[in-house]
Amino acid sequence: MKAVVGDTIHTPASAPEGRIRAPADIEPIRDFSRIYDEHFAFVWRTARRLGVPDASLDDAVQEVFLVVHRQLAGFEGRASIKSWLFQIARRICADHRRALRRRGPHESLSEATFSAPADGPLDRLAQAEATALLHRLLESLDESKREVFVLVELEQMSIPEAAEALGIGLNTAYSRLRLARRDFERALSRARSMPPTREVTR
Amino acid sequence: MSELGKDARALIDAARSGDEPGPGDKQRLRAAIVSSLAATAAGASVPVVTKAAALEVAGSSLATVGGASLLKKALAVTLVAGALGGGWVATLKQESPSPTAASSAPQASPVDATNHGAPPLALPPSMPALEAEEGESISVESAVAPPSPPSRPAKPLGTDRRAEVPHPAAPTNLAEELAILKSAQSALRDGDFGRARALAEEHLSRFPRGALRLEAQATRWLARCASEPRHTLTREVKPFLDSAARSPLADKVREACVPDRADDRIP
Repeated sequence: MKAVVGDTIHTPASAPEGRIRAPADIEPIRDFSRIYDEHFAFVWRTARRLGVPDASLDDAVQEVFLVVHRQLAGFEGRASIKSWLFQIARRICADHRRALRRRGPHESLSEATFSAPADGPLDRLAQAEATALLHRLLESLDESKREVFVLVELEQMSIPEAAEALGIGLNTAYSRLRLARRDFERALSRARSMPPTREVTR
Repeated sequence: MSELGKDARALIDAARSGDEPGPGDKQRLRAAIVSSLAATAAGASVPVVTKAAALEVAGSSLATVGGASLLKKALAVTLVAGALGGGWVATLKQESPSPTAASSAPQASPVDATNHGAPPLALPPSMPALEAEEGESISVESAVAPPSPPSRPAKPLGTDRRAEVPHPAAPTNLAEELAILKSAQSALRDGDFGRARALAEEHLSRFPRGALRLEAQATRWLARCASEPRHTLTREVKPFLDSAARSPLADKVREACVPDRADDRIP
């Protein structure tokens, strides 16, 4: 048996980057680390954009990676790793949103509500407000439209990739995206026509 | 298919990077995941191994680990002190000495016996390994315990984003800690302050790095302050109140031990 100390923590220099391999020909130790390193930001962003409040964000992301760890050996590489992660993340995010609804609206106030950099540099404030507005608009979309919108418009996946991640047909993906864009535009118009507010809800 | 309008596109471009994780988020979450997996592993594994075992993994000569069920198993604990905000990592590796079993299940989870097929925890290359010293006995408890005592019960899930990630004690120890504290608090409620204090001190001596250390300290102070003149303890209790300033326990102890709020401002 190989020594454990030290050498299991390194990603081998020879490991090809960006290729998802079946677990049989990889060392899972290294792969989990790689998945975490390469896709942490994707999972984090996804959780935020699928409506997990900041207060629950750590939990949700952690749960995703615990599931990944548990299921990695069974991952056959048929879907892309991002699709697989998204499938896990969307279930967990849905659970968190359900829990949030049960707890009541006061729980949806994220820490960003209180920590928005109102007196910080202008660009930070502008970005915080833009992000808050984006989240409000995403919140206004149906779940199914929101998911495809997030993947295509924000994660810049191709529509076939998004369809794969969502487990839906290509035509359905196109249709949902079209409706999502329309609803997003409408929600944006409504938001622009409303008086500005200083509150940042995410 | 219609594309997004200019305004919507501009908003998305402006907002996109606002969803990126912060610089510490990745490491903090990694530490939390490691803690969760280590806690799971500790709960599913045997409580004690030797550091020698960790060094003798290659030889699989781990019969000294102890416990009848372990005669057929080897358990290696690798301690890794990470640069993850003081995070400690335990990678537990379990293998069967049977050649057939070993060859047929090379990827069986080394972390969680119930976690079939899950890969062992991967650690970042940036984390330096802490070499175990041969012959020195360590327990899973110490493997998953942080280098400094946590101030709150372990909570791998539900951690505050910006708080340092606590590290869970082994579940068995947590149960023991809880049992002692329950008895202490029961004694406190019954007015048996001597017993409450003794139990709290027992907890503190048995679990100096316990997850419920803060609660034990608070219980000890509550017992003392109920049985001794409060003014004699005001100064003594101050370091605890300072160290637990953010804990609701501090308020309870302050209420019990400091005659007047003004006295809290001890010079």
